[in-house]
Amino acid sequence: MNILQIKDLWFSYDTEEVLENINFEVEEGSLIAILGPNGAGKTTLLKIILGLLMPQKGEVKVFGKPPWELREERRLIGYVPQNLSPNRKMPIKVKSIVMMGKYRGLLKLSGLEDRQVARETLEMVGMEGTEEKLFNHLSGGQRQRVLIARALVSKPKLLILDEPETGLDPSFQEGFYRMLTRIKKKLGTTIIIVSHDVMAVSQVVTKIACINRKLFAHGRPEEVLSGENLECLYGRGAAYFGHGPTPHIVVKKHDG
Amino acid sequence: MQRALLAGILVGISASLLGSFIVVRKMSFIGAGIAHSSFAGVVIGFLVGMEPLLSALIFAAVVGLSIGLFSKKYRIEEESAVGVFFPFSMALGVLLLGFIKGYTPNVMGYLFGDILMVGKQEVALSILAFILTLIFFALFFREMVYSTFDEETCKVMGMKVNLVYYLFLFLTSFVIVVSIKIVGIILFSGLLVIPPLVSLFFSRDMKIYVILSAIVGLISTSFGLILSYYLNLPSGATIITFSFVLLVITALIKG
Repeated sequence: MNILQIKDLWFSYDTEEVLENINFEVEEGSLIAILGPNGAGKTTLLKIILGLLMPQKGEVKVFGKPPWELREERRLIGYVPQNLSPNRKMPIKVKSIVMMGKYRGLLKLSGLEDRQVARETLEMVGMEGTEEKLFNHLSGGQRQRVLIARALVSKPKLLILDEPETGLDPSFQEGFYRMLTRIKKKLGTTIIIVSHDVMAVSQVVTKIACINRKLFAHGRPEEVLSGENLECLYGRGAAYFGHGPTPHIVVKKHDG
Repeated sequence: MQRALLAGILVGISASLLGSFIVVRKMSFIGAGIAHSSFAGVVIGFLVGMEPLLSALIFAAVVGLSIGLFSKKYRIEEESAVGVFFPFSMALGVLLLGFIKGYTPNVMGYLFGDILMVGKQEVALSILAFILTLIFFALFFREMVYSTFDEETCKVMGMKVNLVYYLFLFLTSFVIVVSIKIVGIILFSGLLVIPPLVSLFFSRDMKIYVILSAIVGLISTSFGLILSYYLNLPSGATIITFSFVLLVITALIKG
């Protein structure tokens, strides 16, 4: 079954075309990476999937419904936004942020059980014992982990991450991708991750969608990551080598 | 004096509670903008023979919601939207002032506050403002905290972010109008912003921060009013100066 279906999707900000004729679907239980250079429209695509933006043309279905018509199903989506920058002076504790992921609606307060789940989720991302700490006292990587915990705490059916590697310390980064695979297996969560890190991501995902305004390629990593597609994604001069089990990208030196 | 003290304390607490979110949402300029916009409302009230507080409330609420709509719909920074409505409302007020025939209203009283103008009606309104603020916080505290932290994710989760935001703006407009006779249009933003700033120095949790803001608001208005009464000073200016001194002392000790 497809958790996400996108057909003939077009989106523009005023007169600037950002996404053109995008078509792809995401099967339940898969882990898909959306790759592309800066300004390719990846975040815009995620915002359409999340129901935050309305496309001018085309069809988008999440759990079989247009995202802006989702009601209860919204609770089945976990989201890790890119570059979240709340007011640094806001005195908010880590536990409050994780509990935010357990929000069920007006006046529906969380119980003790929820707090236990929040603690376990923090443990899962290696942030145990930080419940009482202020979010703004954490390092960039630690904050990112708390936001990942917030997205995971509701045990989502669909997890959407917008460049979650930003700010993560290298030691956690490797474990992070393994964690995503574990979540997918354990909870059957479908995961969509927007990423810059082609190499790391291509080792764990089931499929890759290469986007640069248009959808250049969509398929298994070994099918998609050809020199031709990488050139579309990262410009002329990018070459790809299947060098052992780890793919590499080499970018040719530019003149001047 | 007792009447003024009761009304002052109630609006002081309400303004500080709302102000705690105004400060962490970096909306201080909006508070000042809505407050100033009520000036045109007061003048319109005198001009058409309507109760000035009622016309001020209507005008401030319209401006408050317009700022929200303007910035959300046209993707203009709230700050810029305020920059448009703030001077426009003051300009309109000044222009219309010239059209009032006969009795000239106590403009200074509205601009800087005058406890002699506080009557039974103001006490009743301040009780209403206080109760509405408490109800708002009881119902929407979590929503306010979460949407202040990360509005986008709140929308993804299906939270009624815009509804809560507009209610917040409306309530702020209401408290502003009720406070006019106590602290005045020009001085009001001090009551909204200074107590939460004092509280921020001590708080490690949103609940504590909001409650402490209310306590500082209570101390500022009650001590300010008592001082103004015994030293025969203008009420609004004394409250704001007192809370400013409190902020400076806090900053020196904790900063």
